[in-house]
Amino acid sequence: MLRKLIAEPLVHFLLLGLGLFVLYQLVAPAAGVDRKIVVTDATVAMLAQRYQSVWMRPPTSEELQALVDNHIREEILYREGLALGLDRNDPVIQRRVLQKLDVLTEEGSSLNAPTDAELDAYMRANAERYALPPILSFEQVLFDPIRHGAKLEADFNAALTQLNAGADPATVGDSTLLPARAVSMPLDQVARDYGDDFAAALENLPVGSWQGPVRSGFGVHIVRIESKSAGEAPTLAAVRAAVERDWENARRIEGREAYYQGLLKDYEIRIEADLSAAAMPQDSAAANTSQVRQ
Amino acid sequence: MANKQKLYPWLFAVMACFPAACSKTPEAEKTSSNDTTQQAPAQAAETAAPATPAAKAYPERVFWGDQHVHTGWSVDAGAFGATLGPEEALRFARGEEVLSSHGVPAKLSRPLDWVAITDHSDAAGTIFEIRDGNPALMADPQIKTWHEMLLAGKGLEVASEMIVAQSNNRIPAPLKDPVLAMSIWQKNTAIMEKYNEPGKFTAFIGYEWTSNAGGGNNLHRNVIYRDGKDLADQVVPMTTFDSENPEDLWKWLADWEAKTGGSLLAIPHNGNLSNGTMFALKTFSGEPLTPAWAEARARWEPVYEVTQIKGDGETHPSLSPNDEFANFERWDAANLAGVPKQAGMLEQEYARRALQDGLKLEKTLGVNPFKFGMVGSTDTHTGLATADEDNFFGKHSAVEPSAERWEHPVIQTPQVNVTGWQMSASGYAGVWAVDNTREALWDALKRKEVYATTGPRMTVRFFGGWEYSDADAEPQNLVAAGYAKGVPMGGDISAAPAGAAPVFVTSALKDALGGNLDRIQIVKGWVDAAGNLQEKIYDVAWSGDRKPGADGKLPAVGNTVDVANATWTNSIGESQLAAIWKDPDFDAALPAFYYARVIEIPTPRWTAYDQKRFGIKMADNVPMIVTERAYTSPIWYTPK
Repeated sequence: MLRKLIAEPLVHFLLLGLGLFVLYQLVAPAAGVDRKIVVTDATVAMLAQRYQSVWMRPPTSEELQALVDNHIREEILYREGLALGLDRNDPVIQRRVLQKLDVLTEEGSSLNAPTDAELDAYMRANAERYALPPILSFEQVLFDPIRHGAKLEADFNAALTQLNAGADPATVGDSTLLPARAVSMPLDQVARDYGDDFAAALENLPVGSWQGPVRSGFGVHIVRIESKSAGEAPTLAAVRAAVERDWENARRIEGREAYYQGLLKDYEIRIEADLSAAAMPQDSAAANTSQVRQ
Repeated sequence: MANKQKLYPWLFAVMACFPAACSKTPEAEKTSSNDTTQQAPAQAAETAAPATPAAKAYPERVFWGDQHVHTGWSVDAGAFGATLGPEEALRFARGEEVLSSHGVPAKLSRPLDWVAITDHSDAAGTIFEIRDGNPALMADPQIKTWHEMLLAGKGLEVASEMIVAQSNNRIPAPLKDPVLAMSIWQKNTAIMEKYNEPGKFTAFIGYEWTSNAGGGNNLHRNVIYRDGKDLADQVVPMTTFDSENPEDLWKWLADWEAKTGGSLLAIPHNGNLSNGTMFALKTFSGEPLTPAWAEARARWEPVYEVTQIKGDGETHPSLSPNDEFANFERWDAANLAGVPKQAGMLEQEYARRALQDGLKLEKTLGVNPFKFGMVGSTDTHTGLATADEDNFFGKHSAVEPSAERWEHPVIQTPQVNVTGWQMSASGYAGVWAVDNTREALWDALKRKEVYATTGPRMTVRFFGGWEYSDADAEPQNLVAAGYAKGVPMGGDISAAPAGAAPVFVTSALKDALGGNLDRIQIVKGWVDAAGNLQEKIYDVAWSGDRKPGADGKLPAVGNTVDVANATWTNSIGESQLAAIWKDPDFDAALPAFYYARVIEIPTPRWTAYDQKRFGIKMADNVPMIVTERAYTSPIWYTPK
């Protein structure tokens, strides 16, 4: 019976099949991989174009052969890696996909240029942001507190009296690397160079006379405002580029959010975790949200 | 009428020099005695900047910026959780408030004047090619349909369809191709164009070429474009998929210029993480250096990023054992991948030694390959260009402010641990340019009229020549005389008059919001007649009435830092310093370089602010005090 069975061609066929199956399981590194790579004219054209786009000339025949070899190598390794699931749970890949999606949705939301009416409305709604800063011209004389010590106030007051009596400002105060005179400087630039407090003080000084003390990070100043133009409400012509930029940015963020909200609708979200147990204590959280300086 | 008070007459003496004590030269004595008696001419107040840029004979303003900002568009930054893109990074640099990747409001104390967003060039593509109807893609019917939908304003529908196609693996084959790298580059350049406002704020087009050759040896370069989108878009940025060899990058830069007629330069950084390769004395493939190699390096890399979050790169204590300020924000254990350093590597990693090697190489090659100026930048991967100690958002988004970040690993391998507290809240680049435009700033980088700071915005001037007199160091004369009678930082002097020594004038004004100044030093490097590398540091101006000790060293300025409260007072130091200094050890036969180093009084380090802010106590070995500084680009002396 057994001998008869062994002689049966169907059994041979089944055993052969089983052997092939086992062999396949042993040698195949992963299942479901497409193991055919066809290098078409289109593939080669793509590789050549990519090379040209970086190196600004077509590849030589040796370089092209290397590109094709490398393409095959990378394609094989990439397919095998995918089959092993190496693309899953990878934050780098996840970030890249999210980034592509963001760019995609942002693009979809900003294809149409804004009209003047839209920009004008946006500018008016955010008028403070586009207000033109006051422009100042001023002279200043510096007193370094370390140099004057206890005599600071006396020296300062004497100088103030001299200046208002017509003294040449070059002859009073400390020698300084700061410019003695600033011409037509926007107030925000004054703030950058001398600090916010100094700029705020200058905004409120009267024009024409020597005033002080005005403090900055460099010391104590006597300042004479030569001229001061009030800040102005913006016109679209003057600030168009900034308004356009902000308008587009707002559309971009809206587009991204709208896309997300659209997707969210179709999801069922259930939070089973205990968030309060996992979060950091309240005290630290408060500290963590007070990073902003000024 | 009261006389104008003189500015720190004691500054004009040539004082301490080391390593060994040295005596004053007759010239120095003369300089010193002259100055204390000479009266500054009383004259009318200096006028400020002329109204039109065309009228400016020389740069009158320093423009502050960061040429090294990564955003969520850099793969590694994204992986660490950065969600801010280039637009947010630009808005932040311009001084606007943005939300950090962790949702915390973030704002600079003052806007920057310029920035370069340098995301890694190894990037993937997007759909611009589809929208713009790239003919290579339009053959595919599906892509053509999407193209038409995009033009009809149906961007979101296209996005949805693409996602479905992606998940079903039915994305049209042409879209998978890396040629699409161009599209994200074009999006990047479009954003830079939008935020670039000549005269007000400069947004450079740029990218980082991120070579980690040999497994983590940092050979990174930032490529900075002088031109705009029209030229930048013509060629895809070079990636390290194309080559990890800097010599290929230089070739790419040359090809780009030849093709477009535009101008590029590259700024390397973090030699301290290169395991001896950043300033190696051989080529990438190990061959001896050639004149052509030296010429290419000097041409394409006029500036080095000498300080940033991943450590300071001016010099190292083992290379400059007599420099008491050398041990500063060191990252010297390993390369970027945590491969430990071996003997002989440090010598090829730091700026000062490279400047010395450059002089030596010039003798044999005819060209100095390491003739670079210096800038600081952040290399932030958060999109937030923060270099202030009290407002430091960290290297990447995993180490944005939190109670734990100081002990969070930054580089971690079996051999090497770099921990969060080692991050340095540094730095910025000061650029002396006639105007705030891409062209003017780029030209200043190219001619090296730039300097590095570790964060504070101190105003530093440095000039060299043969004919400066004491009056030229007076504040009202210093700049005009500096340019008229010599060269600014980054420049060259030669043709020494018989018997003369070079004279330098320098000044520093503190950051309006920062600490006072301790001192100005001039660092000299040269190669002696026997071919040995030499360096010497001269204190040329300092605060108070300190006198150098018997060892030639100036006593420390003191310390007012209250670590527990993260505060300090400007009750020591000076708000400004200036000096004129003649090299007392000059030998006209030997090439040399000179640069100024400005040292601030001690102030709280970012770790102290974190400790106070979060009510925590860090380990005892974590430094809480920092000595901020500025490094100017050198002035080189070359014998005729």
